Amino acid sequence: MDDLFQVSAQAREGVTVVTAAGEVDVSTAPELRAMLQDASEGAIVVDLSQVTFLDSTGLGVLVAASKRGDVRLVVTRPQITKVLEVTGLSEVFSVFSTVEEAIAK
Amino acid sequence: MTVPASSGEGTISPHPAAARHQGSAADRVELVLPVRPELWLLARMSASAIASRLDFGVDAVEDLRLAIDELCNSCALGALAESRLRLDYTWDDDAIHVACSVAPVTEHALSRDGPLDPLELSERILEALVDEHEIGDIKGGQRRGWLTIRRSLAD
Repeated sequence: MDDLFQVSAQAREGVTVVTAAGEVDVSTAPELRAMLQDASEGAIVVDLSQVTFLDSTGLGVLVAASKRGDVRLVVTRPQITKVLEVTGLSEVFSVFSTVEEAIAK
Repeated sequence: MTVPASSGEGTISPHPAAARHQGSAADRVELVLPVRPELWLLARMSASAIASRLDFGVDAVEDLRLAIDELCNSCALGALAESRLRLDYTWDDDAIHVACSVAPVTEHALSRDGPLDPLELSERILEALVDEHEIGDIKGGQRRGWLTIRRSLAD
């Protein structure tokens, strides 16, 4: 079941791009939290375009990271857009459709 | 992990909607899991399978998967290592009802470092995705919750 989630980070053009893939839930959110804490210098782009499931625990991790600095989200899947909207967090985060747009902000 | 509906001690008392359910045992599934969040995938898969068999649309199946996850998240706050999570799925032509209970549980101390009450986001999600739901307070060392999602909204 551990293979259901993967996360990695790389520096690109002065920002840290954290790429997550798979299902972000209460069991995998700690991995995302750790990656975001490690990348806490400067702006962070969190690419969620390959995330297929995002629950309140994952959202909480993103909110916590946004309290520490500039966090920009890349979202392409309607289900992820929906969960951001119903929780009101689409108004909190800057949301982009591509990593390039998020970096260029 | 699946036990018969007539498993006796520890069986979840159905929520109001499910209590009116007149279906047969074939319309009911119970799932009992240790409170290990990595296993909640099984709860989501069960819900997805039931909704798909009932011809709920793709979006509704996704909504139910997320709602089940939040139901588990909410009920398991304050769970202990030995706690068990029970899910009771019932359905009829128009709706799927899911009752959840976790025992034993203790009063959960919310993290002071957390930016949000963990129940708050769950509540917002459940409010948006399902037709009816309730997360109860701890009683007798057990927390119960339930939800109902109807086809009319789901599709």
